Order: sequence, then structure tokens, then C-alpha cells
Amino acid sequence: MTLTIPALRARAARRRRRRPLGVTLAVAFLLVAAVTGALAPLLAPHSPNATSLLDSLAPPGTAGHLLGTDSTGRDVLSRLMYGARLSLLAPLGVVLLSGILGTAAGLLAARAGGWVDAVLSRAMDIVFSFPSLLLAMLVVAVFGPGLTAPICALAVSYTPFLGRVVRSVALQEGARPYMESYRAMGFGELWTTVRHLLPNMTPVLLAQSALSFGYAMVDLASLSYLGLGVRPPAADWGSMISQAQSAILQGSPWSGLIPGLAVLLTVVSVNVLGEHIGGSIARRGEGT
Amino acid sequence: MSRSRLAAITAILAGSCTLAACADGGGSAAAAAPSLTTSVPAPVKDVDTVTWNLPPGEPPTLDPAQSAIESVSTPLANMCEGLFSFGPNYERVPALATSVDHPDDLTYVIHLREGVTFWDGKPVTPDDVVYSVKRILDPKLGSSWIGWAERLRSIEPTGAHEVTIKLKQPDVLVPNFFATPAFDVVEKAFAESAGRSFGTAGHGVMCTGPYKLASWTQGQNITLTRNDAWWNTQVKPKVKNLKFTFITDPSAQTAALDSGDVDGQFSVPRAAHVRLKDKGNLLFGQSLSPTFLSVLNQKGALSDPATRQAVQALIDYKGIIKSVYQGAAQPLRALVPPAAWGYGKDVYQQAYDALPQPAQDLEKAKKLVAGSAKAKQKIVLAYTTAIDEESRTATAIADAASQAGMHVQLKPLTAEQYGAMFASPQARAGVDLFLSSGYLDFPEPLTYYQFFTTGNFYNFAGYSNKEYDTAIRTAIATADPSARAREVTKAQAIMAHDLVNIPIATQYVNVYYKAGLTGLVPRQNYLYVPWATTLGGKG
Repeated sequence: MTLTIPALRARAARRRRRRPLGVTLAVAFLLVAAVTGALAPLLAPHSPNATSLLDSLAPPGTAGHLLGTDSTGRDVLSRLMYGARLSLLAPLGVVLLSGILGTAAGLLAARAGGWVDAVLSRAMDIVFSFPSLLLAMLVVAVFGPGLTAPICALAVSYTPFLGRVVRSVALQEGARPYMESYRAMGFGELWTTVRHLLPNMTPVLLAQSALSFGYAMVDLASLSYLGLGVRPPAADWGSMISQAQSAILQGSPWSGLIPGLAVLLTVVSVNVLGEHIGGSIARRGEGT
Repeated sequence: MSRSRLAAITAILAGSCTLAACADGGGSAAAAAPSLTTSVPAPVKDVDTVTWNLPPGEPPTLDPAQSAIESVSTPLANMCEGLFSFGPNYERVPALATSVDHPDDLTYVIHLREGVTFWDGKPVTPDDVVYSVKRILDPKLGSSWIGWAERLRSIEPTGAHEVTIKLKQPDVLVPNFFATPAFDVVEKAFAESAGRSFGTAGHGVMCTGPYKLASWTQGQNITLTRNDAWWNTQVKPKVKNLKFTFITDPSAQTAALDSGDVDGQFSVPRAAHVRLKDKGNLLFGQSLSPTFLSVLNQKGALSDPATRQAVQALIDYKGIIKSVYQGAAQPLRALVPPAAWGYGKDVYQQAYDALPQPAQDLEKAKKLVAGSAKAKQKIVLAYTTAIDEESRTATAIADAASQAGMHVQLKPLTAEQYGAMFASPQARAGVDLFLSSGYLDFPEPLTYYQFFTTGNFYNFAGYSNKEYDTAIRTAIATADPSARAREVTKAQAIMAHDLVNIPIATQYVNVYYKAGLTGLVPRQNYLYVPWATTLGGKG
């Protein structure tokens, strides 16, 4: 089918009209957060670690400190911008790692079947039953604070979330006629799985990964809040909230509220996006 | 799941807003410096129960042998007594002993008070005293009070109400310990029957003090009740029951004190001062407590004196006092704070004045770093995140270091890891600088400076200076206060020159109690004196 440029423009406009405002806002917020984090060295007005004890707990709007300063006089806006890097990249690491592990496990279980499926499914049940945050805390206790260990631990914890979904979808797709046709034509299991099954599952993977991103962000922020995440003085939103505890008691909540709001909006945005992708898949399924 | 997590975040944010709304005033870096309290009106009314919080948490035991930690000593100071006690100015006042004779440099003859009984009514005997002192000296017990007895030859009962202590060498520090838990007297028969369970929630202790253990519900509270048969009839405690709670989280402490669930506590979190200052009595007193940097690794970057001098020049003393301690501290020129000069004050003052005034000088630090290859090497600075003031101080030092061209890597420690730093060489491995706070048990600078003599257990860096050792050794054997102060100040000057430690500040001791209470003056000696006997209701 060939569409003219006016027809393409009309279709894009229809899509824009169908996209809820919340999704647009969510995408816009995530883009702003990602770009701000990436360009922090260019955009941030101060070094994120530059202290000035005598200027501590300045309220938002103070000259030179748009969002105020924290309890050691560091610029909250600069730390928020730099903090976006770790706060967004770390959950992304969890999602990528758990995505690879979950997809591999789910596909293997669905395509191999039999005892392989039974073993993998039970293994995922066991991992699923263990609280992710607790596992991450145990791993940090063994390997020490930092982001690598909790990212790996959370990725393992999140693997069953995706693994179960992938297995279920792979079983459904595997029974469809097009997969039977490829088999009848003599294509191997690996080729049909990678070349045809996996691409058809991409929207589902995206939707599930978006939801996992939100969970991972909250878990990592919780670890940082508990002092088990990034090492000081590096900025991330969870540790910023943690370090603001005493400031909140002193009646200066902004150095904690602002990164808290950033976490909240990011998680909400990612969830809105994930649910939108999930809804689109469901609508497409109903349409076919 | 996603909804519950979002709800949790929203709740945290809402909670923050509520806390902020409850707190009066906006944020300010530098609050007005608090005034020091040296006296308050005496109580006139009886109070049935006072609920007092222990910020360090539940004590692991109530055994006087382990009372070098605050969670143990705060309640125990009201229960168990030594031979002497400390008065308001740390003067030695009689307790279970009425007097001590010092016939020669090596002998102390202690005259015990007659008619004193334990809580169970049994009389205190010289055997109980000797048993109690010797018990703490048993290395198996692992008491940190063992240190006083380095020069002890013997301690024996020498009369119906007399105990004699003989030393191998003169040691002027020893009489000070008569008023510390090192000489707390426990009932021999009770302790022997309890064995290793002595001091635990199951067995408790048997002492003579103004309060006796009524109950200990582990994980919840310890309740003491007034000992109406206390020997000291001149003091009538107004508080009948003293209930200790174990709230460790600073926010929860603040909320408990603010709401009245808890009536008082020592060491109120600094962040709560604004909120509590007009609520009840938030009082400050001079402390014997220094906050300082210890050089733990003398082989790395800090082996070069220029690096140590640069580190000292990095410290923003003014910002730390005004912002971190909100004025409730003073910068320190020497490790031992002026409040701990218990004698020879003129000598100490003169020596203290001769030391450089502490001030941040980044230009000086940059010059020192430029001239030293070692100063550019990585320095690992360990501190505890359990103390907000120390986290902020360490962060400021690390930032100043980067401005001066140095590389200070922060190593945050949990409360447990922090405790391990004092006990385990493994815990100190890889750490170059250690930010910590301590306190002197009584105003005798020697007690701190002796820790840095060659081979001392607390000399973690292995510092060794013959002149320093000689000055300390001479001071320990010098009875004349001025002469002793001169020897101590010699050692102090050597330490300041060598920068084995870099003093930062001495923070005030503080206490909060609700508006209806009075009588308690904040003093460092609350750890060793029955402070609850001064507390009671206002008129």
C-alpha cells in the first residue's frame, strides 16, 4: 500500500488526536528528564558537589539557587540535573538486564517445553517469592554499597515478571498458524523464534519493561534513601531525599520534596506510558 | 502493585509536607548560638512517671562493666554507684566511700560508708567492693574500664569498712576513676549466682543507687523505680518511676518529644532544636567532647606533613560551627576541649592560645598540595552516616579537598561499622582519615592524650614520638597540678605539630525535657551521676 504525503499527515494527526493528554505529558516529562540528565554539565548552574555551609538550606528562589540549597549548601537544581543520570540509568540497567534474562528464560521455557519448562517455571516462582528490595539489601550487605550490586540483584528479582509474560505470549504465538507454516517449511526453531516470534512480542516486552522501570526506580531510590545506593557525594534522587531528612525537621523540606517529586513524576510517567502501550496492544488484539 | 508504590511515594511526599508545615520557621543555615545553662530551678513537685528516651537504643546489658556506652550508662548512672561521684564541677564527692587517704604515692586507703545496703537489704561489705573492682578487671569480661588498672598492684579489704589500693607506679589518674563505673559496687553473691547473665534482662543487677530495676521488657522499655531506702537521705528524688524507651530514629525522637509521648532525652537531634526550643526545656551545657579527624594511615598520602597541614586548612570551621552545629559548638585548637582543663587552667590557656587559630585557608591548602606529590594521592575519609553532623562535615571536607586539588574519597559507615572501627584493625583497613567524636570521662586531658603513646590500644595509627611518650609518662606521675599541666601541654604541642589528630570542634551537651519538669542541668557527667535525682515537677 502506498500513501501520499497528505494522507500520511492525516494519519499522524489522527494518531495525535487519539493519544491521551496524559501520555503526551508523560513522554514530554521523560524526555525533559533524560535530556537534562544528559546535558547536566552544560545546563547545571553549579557543580553538584560544591558545598557552602554558610549558605545551607537556602529556600527556592534564592539568588543563584533557583531550587534552593541542601544542608551542606549544595545547589539543589544542579544535583537534581546530575542526579537524573543515575536515577534514570540505573533502573534502565535493571530493565535491560532483567529483559534479557526474562526473555531468554521465557522463550526457552515456552519453546523447549517438558522438563525444561517445568524447571524454569519453578525457578522463576522461587525468585518471584523473594522480595526484590530485601534481596538487593542482602547483596549490598555482602558486596558493599554502590549501584552495580543492587542493579544485578534487582534484575534477577525482576526476571520472573518478564519471564512469565514472555512464556505465556510465546506459547500463544507458537500455536498460531504462521508459526506452524514456518515449521512446515523446514525452518529451525531458533530461526523462527528469533526472526518471527520475538519481533511479534516486542510491544508486550516494551509495556512490561516500562512498568518494571517504575518499580526499579522506586526500589533503587529506596536503597539510596537507606544509604545503600550510590556513594556520597554522587547525586541521585533517592540519596537527595535521604540527605534532606534533617532539613525537613528544620522546616526546610524543599531539598527533599523536589527530588521526591522528580521520582514521583518519573514513575507516574513511565507507568502511564507502559499502560498506554499495553492498552494499544489489547486494542490491536481486539481488532484482529 | 504500581498503585501501592505510587501511593507510598505520595505518602512520603505528603508526610514531608506535613512535617514541614508542623515545623515553625523557615530554613536557616545559621541559627543563633544557644546560651549555656548552669542552673535551673529546683523541682518542688513529685512526678509519678517520667518517660525518657535513649537515642542510642536499647542497652545490650546493664552490667556496669559495659557502661562505657551511652545506652548502658544513661540508665545505669541512676542505679549503680561507685565509691565517689562527680559534683557539678566534676569535684569528687563521697558516695559509697566517705573519704580516701593517700599516705604515699602508691597507696590509697578508702573508707567505706557504714550502713549502706543493696536494694535487697543486704549490707555493702569491703568484699563486695573488692569483688566488684576485680570483676571488671577480668579480661574475659571485655570491659573497657580495665585501662585504669595498668599500674595496679593490689586491691584488698583492710578493715571492716576499709579497702586499700596499692599501685606499682604513681598514677595521678587513678583517683578520678573512683567516681566512674570502674568502681561501681555490685552485690557479690548476686553477681556470682547470675554468672554470665548478670546485667541481662533476665537477671538484672543488684546495686545501691537511688533507682532500682523494676522491669525490662526487651524491645520496648526499661522501668526503674525509686529506691526509698537509699542511703543518701539528703537527696529525695521527686520522680517515682523512670521509664526508658529506645527510639533511635531522629525523626521519630523528634515526633515523640514533640507530642509528649516521651518526656525527655539527652543528645536531642540538632535538626529538632528549632521545633522543640519553645516547646519545653531545651538546654545546653559545656561538654568534654571533641570532634576530630584521626590520621589512621601514616604510610599513604598523609605520611607527608604537608598533606596533613593541607587537610587542616581545608576545614571550614566557621561553617561547621554556624551551620552544622547551629552555634552549639566551638572550634578546637587542640584535641582536648578547654572545658576539660580540670586543673592548671592558666597553663593550659597559655598553651592553647599559642596554637594556631583554626580557620579555613584554601589558598594555603592549594600551595601545600602543589608542593607535595603525596598530597595528590587518594585519601579515604571514613565517617558515620548515623550522625548527620558528621555526614555534613565530611561532605564539606571532601568538596574543599577537590577545590584544593586533593582527592578525598568518602567512606560512609553504618553505626555498626563505625563501632567496629574502634575494635577491629580489619574494619580500619583502607581508611586514611577517620572523622569521629568522643568524650573524656572527667576533666583530665591526660586521659585522652595517653591514648597516643607508643603501643597504646587506641593509638590506631601506630604513632610514636619519644618526646611525646616522655611528657605523658612524666605527667602521669606528677601530682602537682601546674607541673602536670606543663607536661601535658608539652605533649599537646607535639601532637598539634605532628597533626596525628586534627581537632575540629567541641559540641555542647544538650538535654530536652517537657515544660512541666525542672531541675536537670545538662552536664557531660550525666553518664556517671544519678541525674534523675535532680529531676522533678515545677511548682
